[in-house]
Amino acid sequence: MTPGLLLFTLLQAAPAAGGMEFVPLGRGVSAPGAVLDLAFLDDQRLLALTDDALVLYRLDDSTPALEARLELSGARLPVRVAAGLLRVSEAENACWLLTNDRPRASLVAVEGRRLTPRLEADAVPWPGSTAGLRYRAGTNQLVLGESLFLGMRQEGLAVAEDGRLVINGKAEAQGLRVGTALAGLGALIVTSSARAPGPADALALIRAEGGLANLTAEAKVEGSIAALAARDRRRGALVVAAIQGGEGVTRLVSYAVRPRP
Amino acid sequence: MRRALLALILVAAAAGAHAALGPLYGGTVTVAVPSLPGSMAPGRPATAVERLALGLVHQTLLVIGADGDLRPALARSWTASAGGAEWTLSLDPQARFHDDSPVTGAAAVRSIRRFLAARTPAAERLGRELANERVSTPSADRVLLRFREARRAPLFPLASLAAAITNARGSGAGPFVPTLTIPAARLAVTAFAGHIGGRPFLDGLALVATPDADRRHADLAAGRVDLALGEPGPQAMASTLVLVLDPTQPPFDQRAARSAVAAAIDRTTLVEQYLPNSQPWTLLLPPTLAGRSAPSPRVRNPSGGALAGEISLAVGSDVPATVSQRIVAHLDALGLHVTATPVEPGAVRSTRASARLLLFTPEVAEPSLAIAELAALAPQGPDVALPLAAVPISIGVREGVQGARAERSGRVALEDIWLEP
Repeated sequence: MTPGLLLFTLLQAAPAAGGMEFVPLGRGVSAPGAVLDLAFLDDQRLLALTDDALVLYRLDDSTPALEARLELSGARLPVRVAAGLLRVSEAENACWLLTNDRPRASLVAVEGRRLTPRLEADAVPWPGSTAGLRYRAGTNQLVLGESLFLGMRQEGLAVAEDGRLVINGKAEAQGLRVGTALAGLGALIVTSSARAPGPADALALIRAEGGLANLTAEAKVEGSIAALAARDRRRGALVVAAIQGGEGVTRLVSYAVRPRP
Repeated sequence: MRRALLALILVAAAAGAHAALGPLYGGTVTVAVPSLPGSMAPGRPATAVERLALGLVHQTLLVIGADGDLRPALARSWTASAGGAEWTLSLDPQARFHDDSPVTGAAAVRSIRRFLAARTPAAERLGRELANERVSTPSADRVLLRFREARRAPLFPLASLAAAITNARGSGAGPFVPTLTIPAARLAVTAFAGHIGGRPFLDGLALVATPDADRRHADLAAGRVDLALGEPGPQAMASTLVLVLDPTQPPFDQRAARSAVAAAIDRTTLVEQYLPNSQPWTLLLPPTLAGRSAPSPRVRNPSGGALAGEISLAVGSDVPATVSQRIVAHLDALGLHVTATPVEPGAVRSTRASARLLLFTPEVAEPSLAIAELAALAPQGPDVALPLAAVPISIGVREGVQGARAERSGRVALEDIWLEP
């Protein structure tokens, strides 16, 4: 049974309401800067895009341990709020990165414990788009075709410019709004809350069926969730959240996702 | 103590913070203000709305941060040489004017010379300290200021909105570009994509003149406007209500008369009844700059009729009428016959009258500059200027509007506003 199928089976077996839960796995570790995006490279490795670096972590025991760091170079454009996106190519052991304060996207290869820039492009290649994915100049809005988004995931998930959740190209049927951080987890979606910046935020686990989203689990967090990555690993589903606290310090906190006992 | 005072400055959450959902780009807002400035050229703002409006359109080389220190703006760095007698500012190479021309050293020098000629209090301080060669541009992206002698922190005057940088065509470099001006009625601006701090979140905003305070309150409550200047909300205790007595005119040429007035005004009642969100205050510097708490006001309530004669009272038109009426009542109770005259806020400082009632907001939010400005306001000595209340500069915000803030300078900043969906 694949991990994704395992989690989905667990979910189906759980009670319909409140059947799953987020379980924090420790206090997490401090991130080296403001985190713009997170993405799993594979079961054991996590990439974090900060405002000035790409950072590789190893996740042997669910706690991220820093393994490599690549300073991002090049001229920066003035932006009022920093934003960024990672698109991982697990097969190529590489990732595309894009920030709204740098004019070009970069492809970075992960070679053991080294991060090596490979090439640059005007946009991040994206399935179904000849122009690719880029930021609308000076904003945190991603441009894909004719549409604007605040968040975008390879699994067909996106957050529209007004915060509405988009699943496989269509807005969620009830117009559900979510936060800009989101991640796919097999048949599930992990998001932050749609509330405005403040001292509190929440992780939400959503199951989407027939274009409708159902909240399956929720966990309050202190601070704002800046980015999320999720992975259905052989040892169980894992979510890593970059949580920015009131002092501006961001922590990477791991959560297990499992059926409520 | 300083921390306690800083806590008085209520600042909205930083828009740069990462968040669950937001900040979001797009949208426009309408802001109700008591009046609109007659000119959008850089100058010393006389009122909160002038400070707000000029700050939308213009940008200075340096700004003062929440901690009171200088921060980069159009100048990204500055260094001292010649033992502190020469200061060089390096312009941000990405800084641009609204017409997309680059912000150059030549434009900065021309703007500083215009500032010096304007003879605002901060400009006069800078002008006194500069050497004869004054200001030059050693290269296209640098500005050199030569001082008569070594100075430790001589650049604060450049944070004055009167020192904002414009190009030869008059274009500013602030976060918004003015697009429509209907004199005394409406000022519309759109986001400037090339602003040095990044494009504002809003697409645009409009300031709408609404002279009646009750109407502004009602419009905000009913959602007809998104923000209203002077309504409770994000605020900075950046102003002091001051009664300035003229010691060259009777009866205030007598110290006893000045003392009688000082003792007669009940600051606590004045604030409680007529100045909501303010506080009784016995220092001339506003709380944002005072660095300490003000001693408690004492009222001796001298017997009526202690003084006699007729006096003129010039009242800044931004002082609430109920407040000036209360002051007139106090003076009347002392036996003085008062003729009160409203005066434009920008003119009340220089108006000749037996007494002047005005809201003092320093041109630059730096204590030594503010003290010098106060000394110019009341050159005959400290006992001719009576601080009465610390008054906030605030902006009311409807639900769903995020990011409005009031700075320690008293400037209400709208460039970080964004709208919840």
